[in-house]
Amino acid sequence: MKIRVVHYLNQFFAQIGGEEKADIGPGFKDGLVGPGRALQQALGDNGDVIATIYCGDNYFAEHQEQAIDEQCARIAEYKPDLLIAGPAFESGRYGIACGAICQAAQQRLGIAAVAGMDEDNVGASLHRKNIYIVNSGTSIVRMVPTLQRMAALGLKLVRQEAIGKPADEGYLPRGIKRNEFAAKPPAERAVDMLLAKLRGDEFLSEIAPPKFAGGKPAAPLRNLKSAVIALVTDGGLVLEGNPDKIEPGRPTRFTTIPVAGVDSLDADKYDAVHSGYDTAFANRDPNRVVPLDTMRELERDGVIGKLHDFVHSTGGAHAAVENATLIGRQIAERLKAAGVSGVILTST
Amino acid sequence: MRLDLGYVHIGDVRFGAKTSIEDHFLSLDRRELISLLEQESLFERVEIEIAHPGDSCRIIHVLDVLEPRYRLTGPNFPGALDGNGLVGDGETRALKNVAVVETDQLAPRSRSIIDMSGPARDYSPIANTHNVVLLPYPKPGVDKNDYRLAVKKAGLKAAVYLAAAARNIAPDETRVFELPPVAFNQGPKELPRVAYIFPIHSHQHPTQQKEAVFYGSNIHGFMPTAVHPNEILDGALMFSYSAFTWFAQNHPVILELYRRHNRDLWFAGIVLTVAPVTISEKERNAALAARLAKETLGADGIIATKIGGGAVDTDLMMIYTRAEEMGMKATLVIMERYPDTGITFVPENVNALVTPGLTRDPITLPSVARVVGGETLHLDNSNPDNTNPDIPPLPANREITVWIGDLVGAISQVGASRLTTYMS
Repeated sequence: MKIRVVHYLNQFFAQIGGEEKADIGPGFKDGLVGPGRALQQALGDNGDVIATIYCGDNYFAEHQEQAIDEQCARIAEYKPDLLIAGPAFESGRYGIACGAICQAAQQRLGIAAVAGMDEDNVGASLHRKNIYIVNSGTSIVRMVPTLQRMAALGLKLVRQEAIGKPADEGYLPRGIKRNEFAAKPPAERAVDMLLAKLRGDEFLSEIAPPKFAGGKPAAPLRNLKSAVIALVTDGGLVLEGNPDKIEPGRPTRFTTIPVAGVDSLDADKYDAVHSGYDTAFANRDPNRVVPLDTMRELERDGVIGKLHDFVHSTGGAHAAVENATLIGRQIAERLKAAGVSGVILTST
Repeated sequence: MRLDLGYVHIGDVRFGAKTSIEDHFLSLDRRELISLLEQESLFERVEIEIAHPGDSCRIIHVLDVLEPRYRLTGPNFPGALDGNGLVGDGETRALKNVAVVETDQLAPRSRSIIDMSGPARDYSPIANTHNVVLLPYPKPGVDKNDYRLAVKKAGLKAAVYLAAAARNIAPDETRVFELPPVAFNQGPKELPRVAYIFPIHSHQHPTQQKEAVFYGSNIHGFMPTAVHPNEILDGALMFSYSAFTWFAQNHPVILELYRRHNRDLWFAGIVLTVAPVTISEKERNAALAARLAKETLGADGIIATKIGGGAVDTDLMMIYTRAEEMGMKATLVIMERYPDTGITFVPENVNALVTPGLTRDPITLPSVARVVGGETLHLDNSNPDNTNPDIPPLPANREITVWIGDLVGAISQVGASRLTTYMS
């Protein structure tokens, strides 16, 4: 069966005009335009380019949500199996548009989508994790081979065939690891790597160091005596029975535990839920995960102004970075709104 | 010190009237083994099942796996099963193609699975052995930690019982493991001296008071120690969790260093250590382990692995850093757990990591005719990541989607697997 393909282009490749036409809004044409010819050739008998949608680069950049809504609605009318966007080469605005429209089509319309652009295009860094982006390089002379790779990858996605490695299929690595069978077992590779290192030969580590977005530390508290201090933990403290169903590993949520008027965490009223450490000690004395008893002393002695009325808690074992970021942000927003000036994080 | 590990190849295992080996066929007296294991007072009863490679059979709630071994010249699993004594020298019989599989009947949430047929067989050696599965049922009210230790001891008993049948049989294959004392262990000058630093446990989950990990010791307060590699291969070490003892007996890094010894490198020896829980102890152990490798074993380079969760990444990176500061080269074997987050703690100076694979990569296993070890799995088939305690139990014979890391023996932290990873 022939698959139905919609092709996204900017105003230039859609032959509307150059930079002077970059402000035009979304439009569409039945059938193919410009580079669509090469796309159609690449698809051959496997599919048809049934429509071309286009948008001015500036318009898209300035009205992104509106443009995406409108285009998604139009794409849906064509009932396509596949959206091909670009290639945008090194054009940043066009690259962002290709990435965004592919991601939207994939998520909202549930259709397969492939974008094309240079690996250094800002659109690639924004969208490579969520969609397949074929690396076009910077030069327009790569138009035909890029569209051939995009068409081949798109067909595989539509047919739900296994997608090979980035280098074989031509797409940019999305940052998602997969297993594959290796030619040699890990112990042998480890010895090979060590011997290469000892000889001073080149070798390639199999795991790249992680990259994290850096946070900016808050300014120090000037006056503890008037400060409201909150306790937050990833040690998995929960109310007895775990009513909020905090997961012992790979947490997706946090719990808010009221502690106003509580002097000390009673072992009968609290539990620790966490797969990363032996919770027996924490269950025996929950104050050792969340030092409420000590904080109350400091409050009584006037060392701190006030202890915040709620403890926020999650289980920190193997948290996905996205979930951990979200949990952290939500807790921080609540604390900020409640006028908390300092936080003590206890970990395990 | 020299160990002659004599393998008797087993082609099939069946229940029979008498436990004996004849012409590569192991006959197992089920009743005799059951009564041996039922001597344990914590068990109400014990059942034994056999699962063969290719059977439409799934073994669940696996606690540990052992290769059957019998020492002709000394105690078996000293400190853990037999009384005090040493291993790693003399002669030991092993049954090739047979494994003892312990199941934990008090761990309904365990996801340790062996599938004897289907795609799982490509991943794990334990899906390709004739598995003698132990099902020890506890008496009511037995403490689950006491029970767990009793099951591990039952596994040792069964491993010795089975291999004892080979004591008077000439091995089909003998592997000789021999390294001279370090003082005389200089080797040809052109070969680099390589040591293995081996953290055997992470105290983030402390061992129990009576738990036997190394020569019967619970390894509380364990300090870095130089040991002979043969001791690990010959029954001195049982993992507490996070790895299966089969991979100590068939330790991939030790076997590889032996294979290339006196050819590509000189195997300088191994240092055992543990991952403690405080920063100060972690720093101390890492420095001492590296110093032992450098100044006692005379290593030019080290390989290190880990046991345990993400907390041990810290220890491993400290070992690497101390080793390189002392002038050695270092390479680490470190398992990956998540497709999107990688290893969260890799300092900039660490540039030589080998991965035995990613545990959270999904695999779908077809339904099976027979399940051994329990009836249900704590599994959300649509999301194996879901650890919510309220997941309804899933009949274990169904088609299931689990992580590769749930397959016993598919990825071992000590470096056993057929896998590597790539960025997709």
